[in-house]
Amino acid sequence: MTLVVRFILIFFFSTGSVFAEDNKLTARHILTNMIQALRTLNYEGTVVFWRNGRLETMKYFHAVDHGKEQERLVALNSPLREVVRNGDVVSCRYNDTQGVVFDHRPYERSFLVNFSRTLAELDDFYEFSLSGKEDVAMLPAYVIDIEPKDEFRYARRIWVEKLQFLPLKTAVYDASGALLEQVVFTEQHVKAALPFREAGPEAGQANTLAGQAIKDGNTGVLPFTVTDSPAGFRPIYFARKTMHDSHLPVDYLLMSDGLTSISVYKENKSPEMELGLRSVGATNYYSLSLGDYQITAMGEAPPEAVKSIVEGVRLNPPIVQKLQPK
Amino acid sequence: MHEDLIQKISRFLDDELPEDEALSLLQKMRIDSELADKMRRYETVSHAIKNDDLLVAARPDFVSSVSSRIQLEPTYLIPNAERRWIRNRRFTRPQKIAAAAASVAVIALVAHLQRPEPAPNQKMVVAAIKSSAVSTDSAPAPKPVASTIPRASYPVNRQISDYLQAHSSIYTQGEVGFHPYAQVTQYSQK
Amino acid sequence: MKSHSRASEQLDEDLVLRVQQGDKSAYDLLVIKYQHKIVQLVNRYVKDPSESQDVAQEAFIKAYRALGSFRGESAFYTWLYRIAINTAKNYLMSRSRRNVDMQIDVQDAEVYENLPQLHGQETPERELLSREIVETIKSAIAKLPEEMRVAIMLREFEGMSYEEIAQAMDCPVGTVRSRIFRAREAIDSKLNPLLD
Repeated sequence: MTLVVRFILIFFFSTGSVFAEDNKLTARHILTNMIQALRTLNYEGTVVFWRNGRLETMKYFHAVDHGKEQERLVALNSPLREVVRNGDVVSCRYNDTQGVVFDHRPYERSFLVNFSRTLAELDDFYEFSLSGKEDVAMLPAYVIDIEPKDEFRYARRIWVEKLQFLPLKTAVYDASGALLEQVVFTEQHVKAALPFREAGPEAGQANTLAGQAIKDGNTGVLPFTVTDSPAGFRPIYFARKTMHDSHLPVDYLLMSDGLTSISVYKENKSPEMELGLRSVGATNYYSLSLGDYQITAMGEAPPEAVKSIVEGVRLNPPIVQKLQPK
Repeated sequence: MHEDLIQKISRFLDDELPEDEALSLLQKMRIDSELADKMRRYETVSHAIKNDDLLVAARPDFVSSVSSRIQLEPTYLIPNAERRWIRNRRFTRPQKIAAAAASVAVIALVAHLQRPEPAPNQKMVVAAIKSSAVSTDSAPAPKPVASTIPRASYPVNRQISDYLQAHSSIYTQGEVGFHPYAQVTQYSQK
Repeated sequence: MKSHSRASEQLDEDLVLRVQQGDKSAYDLLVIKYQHKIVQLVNRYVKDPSESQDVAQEAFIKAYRALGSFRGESAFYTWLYRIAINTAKNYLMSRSRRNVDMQIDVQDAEVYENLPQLHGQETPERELLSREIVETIKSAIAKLPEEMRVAIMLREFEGMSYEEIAQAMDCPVGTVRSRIFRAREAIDSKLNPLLD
């Protein structure tokens, strides 16, 4: 078959089949396919992250083999580093010092787009719509709008590649429509297989990582809880962390509605603490003083959301904790 | 064709050539058809990348056709007063018409603008997103209004830095010499 | 406001002023700068590459005639763009009056974006050539070295300035300039047999 004839056939059959399929697909279908593709395909590419006013380019890899998954980001700019997700654990190795840090994040599934609830559960808080088609990184994509149903969440848009249903671009917008955050592939390739990288804590270290995943909002015995949080936000993870090179722990509670996450921190008051509402990039944070402690809520959510959560924090009486301090 | 000139065409296409050099380049293109053809080819490539189809370019004799017709038109002579008024006026930037390009251009602009005050009605967002969707001549997102929220700029204080790092797993906020909190003791791997 | 886009607008402003002071050759330079954009724009409505040349020429002539009253309320290209669209719309209206089979609402030119098959458009040969050229360009891009591909994609797809790309790629602006230029040259070299 000549090259010319092959071009004609590929051109007409591809446009014809895509056109027929387009009419049947809804936003929910596309996002469902996307969530599946994120977890089951081997793919790599170059990603530009624009977050909190900072621009960064990284190589991205997602490898999967018999249900085992690994995500990897390799920085192309200083500081050169490699971030790896293996299951619940995320590690970051810095090239200059060869130092490695580990973090336990059982509630996250992807560096790119994280849906921690089903789309049906998110229906109460967001509206999903297929708003059109665009090309990203020279690949045709569906444009999915995710619009919040109240003032406690930001709107998002996801560009989903038409053939493999992988996300090519994601964006977060504030209430006025201004772009707050963006993640975009400049190239993306699906592969039959990708190698895994050895990256994990040593055996003895693993136990010290674990925080406490919270199921069904059952917080059990925790140092604090959040009352009257905006609809849909519920606690999903708690950990006690060491921060700021201080020996005093910071209690960390993660609230999420399945798409928008807000982190809540409780620690002893410090001289450098700043109270009130502030923002950096897409992230708003609100701090107040509660007894001997400073409480801060932080997330890519409108100020109303972080403020509401912080003001809903109630300290629990000190009793024996299930989670031992580090 | 001199490589230096071709490089200038590349920069000119990207609006990265200073005005005087751009003027000089256009004047050269007026008499050098090879240069003009190179510009056409570069525009073809640029168009194909963004639009997945072929640029319908002007014919090689397009400029000369227009020029000969212009010769038959009256010549303008505008008084000095009006000329000064026009020269002093700030031209507004034309609206970008490519949604893909507009999105990241807005990124750069937003990074240097104040954050807007959140509107109570999120329907504005719906309108903004819908108006900026999809076709290649869609309008960009509306310009943000002045914010009343204090904006922190990098580097934020250590406490907030650590909070940000704990909140996001990507470690993309790393700076040279900055190592985030560690939940386990930091150690070196071979 | 980024300085590079100001340079482009400043150039347009200066050329318009020269035309208004009697220098017709300055208008040639504006035509050189915007000829392909305007022909492409007109073709989106007219959908006939051959007719688009004539309609686009007409748009430039109309713009020259209106230049005396141009006061810089908008950028020159924005103003020219509107004239080109109106010229294309008027052309379509006059064509529809000649073609009694057409039953189209001519009030909104955007209607023509979605209409199939107005007369006289792409020949099969041109369509094939179009597809082949686009595929050649895509293939050439895929074969580019990493740094050149990232640079040109950030420029073309994301509309980033050289300075922004330099920041993203952590390299000097001169390096970005060179990468984008070399990328274009590499792609262009693959197009030689198709475009000549």
